[in-house]
Amino acid sequence: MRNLSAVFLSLFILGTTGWLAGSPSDARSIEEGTQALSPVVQSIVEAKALLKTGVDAGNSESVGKARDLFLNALMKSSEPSAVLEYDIALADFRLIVLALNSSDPAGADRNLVEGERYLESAMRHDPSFGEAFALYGYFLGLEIAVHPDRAMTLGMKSYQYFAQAEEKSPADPRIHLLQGEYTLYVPEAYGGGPDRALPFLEKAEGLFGREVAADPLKPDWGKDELYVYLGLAYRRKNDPGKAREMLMKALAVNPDFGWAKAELAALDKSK
Amino acid sequence: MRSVLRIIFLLLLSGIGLAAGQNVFIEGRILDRETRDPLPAYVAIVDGPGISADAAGRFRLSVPRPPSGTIKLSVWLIGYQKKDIEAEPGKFLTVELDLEPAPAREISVAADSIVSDEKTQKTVTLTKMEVYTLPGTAADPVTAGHVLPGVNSPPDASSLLIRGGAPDEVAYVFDGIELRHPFLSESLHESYFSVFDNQVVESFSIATTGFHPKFGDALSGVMDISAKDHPAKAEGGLGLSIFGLNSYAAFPVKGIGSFVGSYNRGFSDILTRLNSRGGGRDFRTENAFGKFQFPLGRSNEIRIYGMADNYRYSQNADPAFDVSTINTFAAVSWTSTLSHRLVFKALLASLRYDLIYDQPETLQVRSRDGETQARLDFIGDFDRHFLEFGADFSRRRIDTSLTEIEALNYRTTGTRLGFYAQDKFRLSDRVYFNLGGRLSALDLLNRGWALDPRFSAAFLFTRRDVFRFSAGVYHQFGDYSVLAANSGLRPKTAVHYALSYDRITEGFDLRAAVYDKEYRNLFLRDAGGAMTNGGAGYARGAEFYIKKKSAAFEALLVYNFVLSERRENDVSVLAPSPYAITHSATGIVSWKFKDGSLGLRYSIASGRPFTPLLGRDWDPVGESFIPVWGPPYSRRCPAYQRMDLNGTWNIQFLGKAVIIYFGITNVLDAKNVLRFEYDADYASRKDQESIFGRSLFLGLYVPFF
Repeated sequence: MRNLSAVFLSLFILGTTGWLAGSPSDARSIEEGTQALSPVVQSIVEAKALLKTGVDAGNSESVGKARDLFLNALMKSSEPSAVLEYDIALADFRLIVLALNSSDPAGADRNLVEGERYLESAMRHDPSFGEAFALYGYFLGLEIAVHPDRAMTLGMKSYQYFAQAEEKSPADPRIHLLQGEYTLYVPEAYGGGPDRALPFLEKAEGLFGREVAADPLKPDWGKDELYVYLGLAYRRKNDPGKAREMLMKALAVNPDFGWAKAELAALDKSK
Repeated sequence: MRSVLRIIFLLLLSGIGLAAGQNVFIEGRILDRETRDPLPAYVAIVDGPGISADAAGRFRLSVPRPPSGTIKLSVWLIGYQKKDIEAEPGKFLTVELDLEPAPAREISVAADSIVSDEKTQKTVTLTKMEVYTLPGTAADPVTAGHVLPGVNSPPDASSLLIRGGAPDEVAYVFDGIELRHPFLSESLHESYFSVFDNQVVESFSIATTGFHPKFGDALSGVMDISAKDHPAKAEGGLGLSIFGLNSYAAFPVKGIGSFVGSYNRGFSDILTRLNSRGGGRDFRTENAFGKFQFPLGRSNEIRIYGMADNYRYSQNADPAFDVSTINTFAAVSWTSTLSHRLVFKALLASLRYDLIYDQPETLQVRSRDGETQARLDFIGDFDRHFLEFGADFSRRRIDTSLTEIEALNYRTTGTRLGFYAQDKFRLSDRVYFNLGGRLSALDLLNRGWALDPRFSAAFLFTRRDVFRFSAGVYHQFGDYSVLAANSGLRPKTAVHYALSYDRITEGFDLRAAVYDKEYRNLFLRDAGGAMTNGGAGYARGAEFYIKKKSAAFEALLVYNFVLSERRENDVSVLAPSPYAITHSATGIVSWKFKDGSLGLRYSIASGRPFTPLLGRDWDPVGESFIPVWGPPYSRRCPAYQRMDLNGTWNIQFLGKAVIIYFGITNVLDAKNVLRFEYDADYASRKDQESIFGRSLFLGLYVPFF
């Protein structure tokens, strides 16, 4: 409890110094703001910030360092923590995407195996943690991307995890975001595509609008990338105006989001 | 002031120097102790920072110079046991990690064949998709089971002959319901399909020994099938082929639960015409299945099932007859999660099987086999222990009416009760045990309770190499009409011993197994015609199975060897078992292409044993010839062989992924003799060949959603 109070206090400090908005003074702010925290909480707060920096810049080294900090926090926790296991898997998820973008399926496979194990453990430690189920469903989709021969068995299994996630935490925007992302990548002939993805993404948008980040140790990512995915969906629907609007929204949420910038540049170039 | 600043500056410099001097590196490598594979584990100073090793397991960690010369580190990777070590800076460190022991529930302890896509069972698998894609499986889970080690059936029979056992020694269980009539036609030679629609099947396993004590009344094996549950999104499709149509749908119903169902209709007309096979034989099938699932709160679920299956077979001549069967069941089950470790299941089912046989002006048979089943199962998952116990009840009534010259009516009723318990537990990191037993009784026998103790052990020599041993006693009550007429009988008994070795790696399964099955108390007719428990026998054999799978191809080879003799029914001396296919082998190769697949299968097997006819004697009293038979089952039919080919082609049509498929059964058109039939005067013999001559099969499948 004392730790949580300290986190709230530090969050307030960090918030006022611009960290929540992702300002360039991140590192210094984190250092200052986390000095009063326990080593475990300090690791988590630092890790979350580093993860965001890494994702913003598409930098796997930063994401890897964030993962190490989450691991450190987990190792030093006195009890199993489903949220920390989820955080590690989330870092794995980012590393897989970066590896796949760099055409490194072997690297992706490593993080895939570990990420799935962490999520299996998280689901075991907290069976009511819907977001872990949704991320696991997404991991099964990533496994299909790395091992296409597993599509027939894993495809339906991934939907089952999404359904369980929604049942457990219907108001969690990241569950709908992950389903929307997943559906966008599934070929239309197999039940995917932008038309089927948009309802999930729009539901996520509504839920993000109502989300209050009460506990900074809990997952709070996704609002910026939601708008990128909305942009991608509208672009695939040949609606560049709407796509642009969404990408601008992504940058309004997170001005440092490199992927949103890249997509915006690509959209402008294609005109 | 200047001197003070100088002192501060010098102090700062010396501080930086000191700090730099205090930092040293620890370098090393982390390996899996067993496989020597590098591990990307995390290494951390106790109460300090850490770093992940790279893909080669190497790490370089900066640590403050320890005053004592060593520093305490923790090394950990998910799935492995955490290790605390003392490291000396400057010395290259090699850390070996051990896997966390698997929970009891994840290890298949009994030496059986299992079909599942679970990664942790450490046993040979045949996935549900392979039931569709492998040639010669007819998309039927039971037929597909013929390629598993321990199944000696010739490829023409749907029935499973497990390790030399009779076809009726296998129990077929569908979501906990025992199906006494799992085939469209119950003849060993002419049954084409089971009643199980692969579209609604989630998973299945075929246990060739060491099977769970919750299954009773089976001497040789159990096929345990689970229907699909909890569809997360709508799925389904419509298939059209020269054999008819099949359809399947599964979908969640918001706020209520979910539904899984299928409807199939088959007819032989086009199939026989296309393949120039008339012969005045015609059959039709119709099958419907539905399963509704209703959650009640977060920890209770009700499931309601129903299946109806209709099969009609007509033969115009030699002799002319019609057979039709109607096979139905309805069931309701309740599953309650009492705690995250304890689950309770209750099931109530009603089954009915009607058979109508009409041979005009000769014979009419009407038979109804009705049964009520109930069972209670408790499952406790305590990580080290996986405990299961419960009870089952069956009341069965068989009514038969036989009209030859006059009508004869028979009725048999039997009530069976069983209790079971099994603890699957981890004795150490590498040794797992199944210890259990079953107690059962049937009122037709008046002989009290039969006890079946069962034991299995699995030794994980490495995580890829598993040795298993099973020993157990199995009872089967047998044909109710025989028991009703001979209430002094005891249940038939088999004692199994099996030893197997499995090597399971990514994309590679291997099994080698040996077994001994000793039969006791088999039913044997004495000189006076009464049935006794004087029968006995054995089945001993070995199996070898290998499967290699990659993204582009799959290859499978299975070989079964069995020696079996029986003294049973009217055979009063120990003679070769009619179910012993001494050698049987199947090889399958299938290739996957970008938009399709192609598979080739070749099966070869020893011919089935038969009793030779030595001659005939004229019976002046009956004014007919009487056959003179040779030693029972002392000759064999010619060796069996069959080659099958199949393929799929995936195309996009109106935005749907449509699958077009074909199959050629018995490509070489081998004439496989399955048995012999004799004229009324025993003067000449006729070969009864397999109905599977060279045949072409075509179809397509269109998804609904």
